[in-house]
Amino acid sequence: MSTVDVERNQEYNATEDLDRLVGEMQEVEWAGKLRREALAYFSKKGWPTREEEEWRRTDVSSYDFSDYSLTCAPEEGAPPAVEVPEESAGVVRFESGRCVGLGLSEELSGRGVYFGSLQHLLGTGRSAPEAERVHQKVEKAWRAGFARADNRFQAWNLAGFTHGVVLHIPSGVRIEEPIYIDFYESGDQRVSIPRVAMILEQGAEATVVQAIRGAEEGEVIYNESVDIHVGQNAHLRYLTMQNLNLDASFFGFGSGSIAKDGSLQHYICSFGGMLAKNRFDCTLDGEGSLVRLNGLYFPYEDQHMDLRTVQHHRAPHAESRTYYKGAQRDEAHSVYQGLIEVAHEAVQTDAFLENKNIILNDGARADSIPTLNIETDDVQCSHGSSTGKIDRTQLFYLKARGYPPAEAEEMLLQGFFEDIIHHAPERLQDELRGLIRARVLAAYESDDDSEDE
Amino acid sequence: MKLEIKDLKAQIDGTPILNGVDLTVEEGRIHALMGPNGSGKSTLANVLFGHPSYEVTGGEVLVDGQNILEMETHERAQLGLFLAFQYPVEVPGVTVGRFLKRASEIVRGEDQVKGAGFIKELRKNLEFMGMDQGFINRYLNDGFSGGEKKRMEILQMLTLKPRFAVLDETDSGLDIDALRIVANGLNRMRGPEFGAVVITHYQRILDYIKPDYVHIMYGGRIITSGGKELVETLEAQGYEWLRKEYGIELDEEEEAAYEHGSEAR
Repeated sequence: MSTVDVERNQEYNATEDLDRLVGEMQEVEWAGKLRREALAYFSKKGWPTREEEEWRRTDVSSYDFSDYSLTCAPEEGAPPAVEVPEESAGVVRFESGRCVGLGLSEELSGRGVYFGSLQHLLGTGRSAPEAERVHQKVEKAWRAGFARADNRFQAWNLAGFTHGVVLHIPSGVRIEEPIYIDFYESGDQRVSIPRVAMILEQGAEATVVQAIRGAEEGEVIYNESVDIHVGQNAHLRYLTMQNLNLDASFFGFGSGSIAKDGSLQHYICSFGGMLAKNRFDCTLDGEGSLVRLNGLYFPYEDQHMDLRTVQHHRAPHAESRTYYKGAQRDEAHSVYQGLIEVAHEAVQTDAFLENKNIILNDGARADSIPTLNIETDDVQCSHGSSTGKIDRTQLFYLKARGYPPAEAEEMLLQGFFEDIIHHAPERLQDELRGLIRARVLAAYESDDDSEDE
Repeated sequence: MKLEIKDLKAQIDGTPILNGVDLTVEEGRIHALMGPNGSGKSTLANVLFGHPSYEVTGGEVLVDGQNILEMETHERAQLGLFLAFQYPVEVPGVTVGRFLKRASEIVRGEDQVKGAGFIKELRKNLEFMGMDQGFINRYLNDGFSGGEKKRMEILQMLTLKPRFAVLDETDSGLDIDALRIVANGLNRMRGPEFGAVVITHYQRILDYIKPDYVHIMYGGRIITSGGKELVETLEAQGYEWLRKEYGIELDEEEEAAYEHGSEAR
């Protein structure tokens, strides 16, 4: 297997590296073309600075991105087939950028569902003939996403992505069991650049559960791009959980478009990264479309998390709900920025956005910035934001029932996040609760004196 | 279990509320604690459980000779003390079943609480309290009516099986049927190994509970104690009698409530 390595401590020469990358990948023409367009954008656009509103509280100026190497391992033939686990419809696993297993239930392949590795899909002469029809859809979704791109991370991703997955569900196919996408990152001073595309045709339905995990140590920059298109009367539930180590940095930019009477339920659970920047930008393109954006974030130690949501209403009678909840501990800092944007023609819009934070100790910080930008009168829009401490009366109530302080606090936080967690498949629920538990108990273990009262 | 409150003094934000409370409760006995608003009844309940808003300025509370004022709130609960809250707290996101299972494991011991057996027991207790089985999966007190919250407190008591309970105005705001159910709950706990203090404004719950002792609290002290006859005297002569005898002043609302209570019987 050949690899393309950008040597460490060498100026990141994007053009040259990408030329080599594109050459090695032997991709279809349109993909190479799109990469070069993105590269042109990358070259003229600097990294985001604190002059820009979205990045005012999240400083990336200390990064020297040239210190990290981009490695790519071209796949030879189809990725290794793996059996689809019980209670799931499909699964794909990546380890440090390489697809190590992919499986889709036979029934679904039979019904025309495409679920494949990006390299396999885009490689000339490598992808199956039936995948060709997916190309056009993917290109369209990527171009739509790129049209809304406004920063260098997004261009970096599109120019330099090395792996990822595409899910295409034809009209009327309803998938009941979840499809799992797992990314696992290890190594040091590495950059990982995946892309995920999910395209649901008219009347299709699916649940996709994505997890981004990694080795306990090692500095990895993970820069992900997710593009979603939900067709007319189609319904997608997409839950993503990120738990990279505290040396890692996470950048995730997602965009979605929802057609008439379609719906998207989107969940982000953010735990990892010394810096984690998330943005999900969603356009309600069709009349009667419905979007729910839910977020759970719990930074601790000296983590910095920045989350942004955009509910962009472009069609009448659409409804969107954003509900982001965070807890902050130790020296952690979180930033949530939410925007409801209603175009002039989007009459009878019903949009709501709420952000709640529980700050667990002095020294932790949560910024909450909801914004409305409404260009029509005929709407119902509101936003709310609350940031406070753990409720003392609740704590007392639990203690009076025998709960020790750490366990009382844990139970209250589990309850706080429950309305988001309970949407996850059961095995992920356990993992999420375990992460919350560990973060609460860590404070009590490291400093026994910090117990309340 | 023996609970001894000796010369207990406490304040909130520098204002003294308890001015030397003395009370001894032996196991197997039910005590009623009565008195007007602001007399310190609820403060006493909260101080017994170590509520962080109150500062103890004197005295001691002994459980079988051990001073519990030194203990954390959860340690007092683990000793077998239970407080039925006057204002039960809503805990969104935590189901009744999950909350009570873990609480039972903590106070009764994990070996006493087994999955299927526990749920069966919880179901029986719900039935006893006239509550729908669906409550197991509802978030604790979240969106419950006032009456449901009070029943939930008693349900918790039945499930956690404490050795000693304080019921802080569990009867207030209940209609007669709910009142009877709450009283039945307490009566079910009654036995040689269980003691309780029932804090109440009104005599009517005492018709169902039949306390062994009655105490009247005023100005942060217990000013008189007696048996059932004290309730009878109160019933016959009202707080007017207390006013004459002990100089107790009621606010208007209380007088009205009391009058209403007397007429209702």
